Amino acid sequence: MLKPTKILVPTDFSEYSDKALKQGIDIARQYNAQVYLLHVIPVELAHVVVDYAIPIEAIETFEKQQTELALENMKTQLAKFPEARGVEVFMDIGRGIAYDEILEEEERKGIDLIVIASLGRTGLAKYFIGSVARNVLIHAICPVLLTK
Amino acid sequence: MLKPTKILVPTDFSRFSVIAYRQAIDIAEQYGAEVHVLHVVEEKVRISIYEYDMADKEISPGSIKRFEGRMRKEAEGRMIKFMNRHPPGDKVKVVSHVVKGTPVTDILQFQKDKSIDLIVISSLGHGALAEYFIGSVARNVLKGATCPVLLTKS
Repeated sequence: MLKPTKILVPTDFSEYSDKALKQGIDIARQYNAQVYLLHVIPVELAHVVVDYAIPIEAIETFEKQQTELALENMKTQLAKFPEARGVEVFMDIGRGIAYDEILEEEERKGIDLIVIASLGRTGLAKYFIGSVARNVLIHAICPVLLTK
Repeated sequence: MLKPTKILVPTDFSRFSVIAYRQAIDIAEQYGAEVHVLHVVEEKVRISIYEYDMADKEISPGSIKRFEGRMRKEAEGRMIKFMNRHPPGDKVKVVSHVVKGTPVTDILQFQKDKSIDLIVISSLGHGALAEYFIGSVARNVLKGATCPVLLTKS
């Protein structure tokens, strides 16, 4: 537990998550750990299919594009931090409820530290902790570093 | 911010806060940082005197002071015991502090006054009910701190 080996950094590509990623990379360099970068796409689309009778294929194509775009965004975000070059970084795109997917990834990958920003894109004010971070803080099994 | 230089560990001497303390020592070793262990003696005596309207002649300000002094002494004794039981080793500089006040307010104040750049706090202390909660002190420190906070789990 004390020396992190697998660090999970959830990202929504916001400037807040930039900070968490920088912190995550920094710790990874210090401890020679791996970084798991995760973005979760919300699953609101599933409802559209039912509500507006949109063909499944169209949705599938759209979702594929979404995933590709998310991966692009992730690479762009990671490229902001040249110090990550020596660090082993895994990129993952999830789909579902953000905190749920983050916690699943924690378990699946045997994560021993989560670095998460207190706010993401949907955050309102600096003195709040966003709902995703809050739920991760509550339910994570491993230590969580909350960046400000 | 990225490399911690001054790490704050608030403790209520519970077994949960030992986990946070160990984690902090470990990080301090890695980064060459110093560790500040802080215990806040709650000002409960004064509050309960007002709450129960006991502020009459029977309880003199002097006796309150004496009582508070005893609480502080006791807390300082526990801090020494805590440090003896969990020696940090000679690689890390550890400073202990006992102050009087309200835990959240004083932890946050301490962070600002001493330019703390990382707080390590356990998700639970003495007051918590179940292991899947985050105690109110940790929750409010997470919310109010201006530096990163590492929340350790039991």
